[in-house]
Amino acid sequence: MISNVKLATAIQSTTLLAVAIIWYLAAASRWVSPLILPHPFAVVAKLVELLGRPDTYHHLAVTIYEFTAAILLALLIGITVGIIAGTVRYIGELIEPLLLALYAIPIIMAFPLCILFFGIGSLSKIAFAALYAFFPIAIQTMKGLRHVDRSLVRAAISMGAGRRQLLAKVMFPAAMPVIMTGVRLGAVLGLLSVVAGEMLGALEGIGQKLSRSVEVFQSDEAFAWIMITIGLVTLVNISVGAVEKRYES
Amino acid sequence: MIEFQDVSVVYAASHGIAPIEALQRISLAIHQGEFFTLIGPSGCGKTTLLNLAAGLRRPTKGQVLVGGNAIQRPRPDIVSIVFQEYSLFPWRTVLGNVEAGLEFRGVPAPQRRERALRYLRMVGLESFANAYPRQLSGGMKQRVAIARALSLETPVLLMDEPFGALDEQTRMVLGEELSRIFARTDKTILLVTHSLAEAVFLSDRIAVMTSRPGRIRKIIEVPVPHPRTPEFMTSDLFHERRDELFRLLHDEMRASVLGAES
Repeated sequence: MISNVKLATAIQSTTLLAVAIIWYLAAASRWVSPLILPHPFAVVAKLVELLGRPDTYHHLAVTIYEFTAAILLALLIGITVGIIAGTVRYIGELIEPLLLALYAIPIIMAFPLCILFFGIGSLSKIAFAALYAFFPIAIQTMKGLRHVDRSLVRAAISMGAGRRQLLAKVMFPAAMPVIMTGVRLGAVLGLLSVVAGEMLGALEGIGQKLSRSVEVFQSDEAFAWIMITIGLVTLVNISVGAVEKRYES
Repeated sequence: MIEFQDVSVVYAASHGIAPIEALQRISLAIHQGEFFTLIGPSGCGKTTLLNLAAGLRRPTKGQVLVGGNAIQRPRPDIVSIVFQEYSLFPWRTVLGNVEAGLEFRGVPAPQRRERALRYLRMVGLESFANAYPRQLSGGMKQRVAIARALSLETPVLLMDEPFGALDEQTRMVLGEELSRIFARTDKTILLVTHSLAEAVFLSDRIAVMTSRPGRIRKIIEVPVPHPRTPEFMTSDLFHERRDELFRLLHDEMRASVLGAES
């Protein structure tokens, strides 16, 4: 097992290194025009420059604000819907096909409507990302609660757990590993939706800066914004992973 | 302390399966302070009988009294239960698991902790208070579940094949511990088991049940004071009772196993 992990890490880092070397060679030897593929050092230099500008932090803050609002909204509504669908059988049977059908539709199509309803500001990005993140969270919450080990429920009832205690202290924590897979997916999709929304129609935010850099052929800056986005996604993944770890069984 | 009054249980027909009569007109009185065991072939309804006393199931006919109260639903104030599959909460520590029942009952936090630690000490797991169930062996998990049931301090303890998933050595050690704990408290214990040796070693009285529909075939007495020691297992009385149980059960087991296969 341990040697497998080590082997996997070795393969992963070798691949990354190979990509970096090919990128470096392609850019340094000018096989590819710097308009399309900037020199990696130029990207690093641009990243350092961006990180030194207060303006960057404004756009970063806008994106983080939109993401945070969207994920909180999606958690609130998604978990509520998931709890109802997962614990009340008849409502569950009614809602489940609806949830799965809507989730299968490319939700990106809702973005122009979000702009129409909520304007070009933060609100449209929040609504769009919340919509995206809602589905996996609601669906996994529903599934997790439905498949809680019956023996745990029976033990809790035999010890006098009431309805609310049963939900809060037994079913919800027992379903947590399944719920967290939905939260992880929802969080990543949510962040990507915020960035994508900013690229499609916004006045600020890191997605808007990225698409603007491409429009004016500032490929080094575009790559630097991509680095920043990857950093943000990694941060979100690490935070979700930390919560997940607490509920491993 | 536990009274089954002319109790029958019929499982309703479902999906083309005819209704199943699990228990037929069982009357049984288990006395205060008694260690009573139900033994019988698989599917004889012994767990159903225990679930009736637990309030997890209601009889089709007749009624069940525990401490003079008609049982309609779980009564955590008078009955605590140990299940075969431990049923520990994996996200809680050992201490947190023992505290869970007290938490449901609304015991304030400081008292909860003190009581949980006391019962963990009784089952010898005080030093594992902060461990998680996944870090424990099967025998240790079941000791945690026993501590959790004891911490509720109910007059009645129900045990549904508590050692069923454990190896022979662990079963023996836990059986001795249980006899020791039983001697120190004034509980009434109702145990369901498959093991003849376990039944004789632990019980004051043993009810042998018939294959489905479950009825009481015979009640055997084992008049030896608790705590019982391993020496008891080598005594003549032990072997005599064990052989008697074996004879009674053998026919029933054949009927149940071959009946189920045909």
